[in-house]
Amino acid sequence: MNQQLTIEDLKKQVGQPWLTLTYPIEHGMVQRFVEAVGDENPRWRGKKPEAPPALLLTIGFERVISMLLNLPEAVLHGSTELECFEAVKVGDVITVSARVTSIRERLPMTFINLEIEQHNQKGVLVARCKQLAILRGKA
Amino acid sequence: MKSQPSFENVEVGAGIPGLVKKPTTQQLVMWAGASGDYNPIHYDKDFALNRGLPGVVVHGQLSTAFLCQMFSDWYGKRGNLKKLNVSYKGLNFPGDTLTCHGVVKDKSQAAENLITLDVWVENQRGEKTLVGTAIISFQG
Repeated sequence: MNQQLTIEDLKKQVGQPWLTLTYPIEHGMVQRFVEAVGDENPRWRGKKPEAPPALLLTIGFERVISMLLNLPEAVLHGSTELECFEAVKVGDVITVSARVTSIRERLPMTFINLEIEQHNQKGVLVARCKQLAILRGKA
Repeated sequence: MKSQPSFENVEVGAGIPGLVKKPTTQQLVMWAGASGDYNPIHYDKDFALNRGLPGVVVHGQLSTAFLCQMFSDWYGKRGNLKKLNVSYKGLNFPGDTLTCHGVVKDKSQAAENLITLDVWVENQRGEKTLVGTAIISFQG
């Protein structure tokens, strides 16, 4: 469910743990993902396939986008950085921790830097993702 | 499957096989469902126009996923993506022809076999709408 959010609320979150979410990596999740991309690589197919790295960009970030969409500005994407440390496979359970690392305003634009870390069920850091979301208001 | 490269045979300055994609509005809906990104600028034309955009736009991360597909099509079972860094420089639209490119920028054999690529996505208008670098580890 979406929560109402303002940029002032986000500013209070800078540097603090913001969202913690858990995602079981399910077979159907991976298959829907590779079908959406049109990626037929056999590494992502079979009974217990790997999750493609690009899937890691989306888990957790979709909740961030959902919350930002409550703001009146257009939400655009500025940049993405992904570091992969361990393979993720169907059956893994990934815990996502998201935090806002900085907010910079240059009106009508607001630049929000986010960092999302992903740990598996063994507590191992499997990926770190940095995203720049741009809120574009009307000039 | 295509033949897979070995670390030894990869040459600095060489291009890797590109990947051409033609995202449709249907694919954007599929991506929204798979990624959970339901930003209306990707499916609601009136909403997009109201936000000052020329129309519905392709998700930036879908273009990033196309790049990742190009990498794994190339390295097969021999490689893994270690790091990817991309900036979204322009907009792509449903119906565009997007070509993913990668050129080997560096090779390193310190702790592991690493290859650094310059990567980009270019549309049929010649616009590089996504640019960045990727680091791939090779097993041999």
